[in-house]
Formats: sequence, C-alpha cells, structure tokens
Amino acid sequence: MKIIGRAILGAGIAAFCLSGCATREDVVPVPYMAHGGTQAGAGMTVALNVTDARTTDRTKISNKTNAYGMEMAAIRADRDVTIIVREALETELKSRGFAIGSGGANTSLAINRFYGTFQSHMFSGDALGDVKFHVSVISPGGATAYDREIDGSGIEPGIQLASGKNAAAALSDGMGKAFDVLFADPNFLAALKSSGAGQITSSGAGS
Amino acid sequence: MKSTKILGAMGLAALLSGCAVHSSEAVKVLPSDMVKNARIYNITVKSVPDNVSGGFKPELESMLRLSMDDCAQGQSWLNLEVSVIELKKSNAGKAFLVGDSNVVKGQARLIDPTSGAVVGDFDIGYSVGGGGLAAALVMSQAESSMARGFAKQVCDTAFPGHPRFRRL
Repeated sequence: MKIIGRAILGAGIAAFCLSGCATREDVVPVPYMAHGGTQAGAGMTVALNVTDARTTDRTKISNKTNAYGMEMAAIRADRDVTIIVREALETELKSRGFAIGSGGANTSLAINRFYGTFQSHMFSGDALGDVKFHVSVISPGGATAYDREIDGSGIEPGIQLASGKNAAAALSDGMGKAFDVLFADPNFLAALKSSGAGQITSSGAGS
Repeated sequence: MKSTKILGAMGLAALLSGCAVHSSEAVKVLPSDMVKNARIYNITVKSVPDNVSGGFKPELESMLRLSMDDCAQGQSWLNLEVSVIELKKSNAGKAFLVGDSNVVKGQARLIDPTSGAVVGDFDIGYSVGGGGLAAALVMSQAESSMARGFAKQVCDTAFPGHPRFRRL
C-alpha cells in the first residue's frame, strides 16, 4: 500500500513537471525604440487617433504556453494597447520631423491585431508578434487621402521561456516592422503633406 | 525493484500529463440579472477557420444549442453570435511521441434582439493537450471535441454558476 502511495505521489510530481504549467499571469511593458528615417515632416503637424479594433484576444497581448502548445496564463501589457501603439507612432513621426497636434493631417490607426505567440524548436524557441493595423489619412474636407492595411510579423528568436518579456519584445519588433512598411510607402507621406500637415503655430505642437 | 517503481511512476505520469485548460475572458460581462433570466433564441456562427471540414459549423451550432439550453433557462430572450478564429489540430505522431495540443479560439457575443445592443462580449479559448498513446487517441477527433469545448466555454464564461452540461 505504501509503495502504491509513493508511486502515485511520484507520478503526480512528474506529471506536474511534465505539464510545464505556466499558470501565473505576466504584466509587462512593451518598450519601443523609433527606427527613424529621413526628415520628411520637418515643420509639419499631424493629428493622431488610435483605436482598438481587435476582434479576438482583446484583453491580453499573449498567453504563456506549456510544452504541448496549450494556452496557459494570460500575458497583459502594463498599459492600454492603444496608448502603447499611439506613443510608438508618435515616436516614429517625431523622429522624422513631424510634430503631433491638431490642425494638421488627420491620421487614424485602428489596431486589428496585437498578439504574441510562441514556437518551440529542439533546443530553444521563438516568440512571434502578430501586428495588424489599418491606417487612414483624412483630409480637412473629410476625403480619404490614404487607406491601407499594414501587417508586421515580429520575432524574438532563440528564447528559452514563453514569458511576457519575450512576447513584448516580439510585439515591439512587429510594431517596428509595420511602421517601416508604413513610412516606406510614398503615398502615406504624400497624403500627410497634401492633407493639411500644417506649419507648427502653437507652443503645444510637438508635445 | 526500485527501477520498476520509477518506471511505474513515469508510466502513470505519462497518462496523467494530458489536460484541458481554458483561456476565456469576458470583454463585457453580462449583467447579473441577465445571467439569471436569459434564454437564447437565435444562435449564429458567423465564421469558422478555413482549415475545418464542412461538418464543423453544424456540429458547433448543435453543441452551442445544447449548452445554451442547459445554462440559460430564463425568460428574457437573447441572441448569440459566435466567430471561431482559430482551430489548431494536433498531429497524431507528434502527440504520441512528444506531446501536442488541440486549440480553439474565437468570440461570443450576446445581443439583445429588441435593441440590437451587445450585452455580453467574450473571448473564448480552449486547449486540450498531452503526450502518449492515450492523449493522441483523445485528441484525434479534434473538430468534435473542440466544438464541444468551445460550447462549454461560452456557457462557463457568459453564465457563471449556472447548471450546465447535462447533455454535453
């Protein structure tokens, strides 16, 4: 009887280890560093409006996974995803000489997807960041000057843990790649310029 | 004798290592009076992933009907709209050798038919995983078991504390 009890205890411990349960939630920052580019917007202002249009995984940015690929505890951003994306886009615009404020081109960005997943290989894994935005630029007259779906597939390679930090790094990379695509599109910059990206006139511009 | 015990423990562990977990969350919680008084009239499965067979959608609708009839037995009618975004099916060989999982994810919305307002909104996630022969066999009917799991999750997440799954 004693032997059976020990065997069951051992089995329970081994099962717990094998299941790789990641049951504790992570709340993490999603850091972002501007990639930058040419000073295409020197002296011009842009108004930004970022909205959350996600249809799934709306309360988190990833899930921890166990060895079988099962979704475990949630990974959440420490701030609202719209604020994270808005600040990242502001950083990119400012690094190109644009100021942020009213009176300029009206740029809208809808977040359709902002979610990290994990892939495991033999000795390590990758964190993947799936980022999808819908960007539009509206002229002062209300006409759509630019409208495009932008995707960014981020990666944090060679990871050992399906952790919040790694998911955030992959999402940050995905966000950067999406913004690279956006700013490499000459139609986007042309739309900003043609849609009233006005001269900086107030002290609040660029804040 | 000692090695027999270790082998026995490992064998049991292999059988025990499979499990089911959910990652469902409420985006908009159903008001408590509606949790008590709701009854589901229309069930609409708006979308399913490309990788499922033609039988998945009707099976999901049927499971959702069973589940909703069990857990929403009030007098106030609501409509249910469901979108399944992802269904990952396990690979039998991988499941047997190293372990794998079935995962289903999507969205469920409860709508007041008189006003058209969304009164409850939920992200649904359900995974079944494990390794070894038993786990591989359990996970082989991915679409059927994930349809059932999804329907259970809608009930659990939208109507917490209600009697359910008598027929599932």
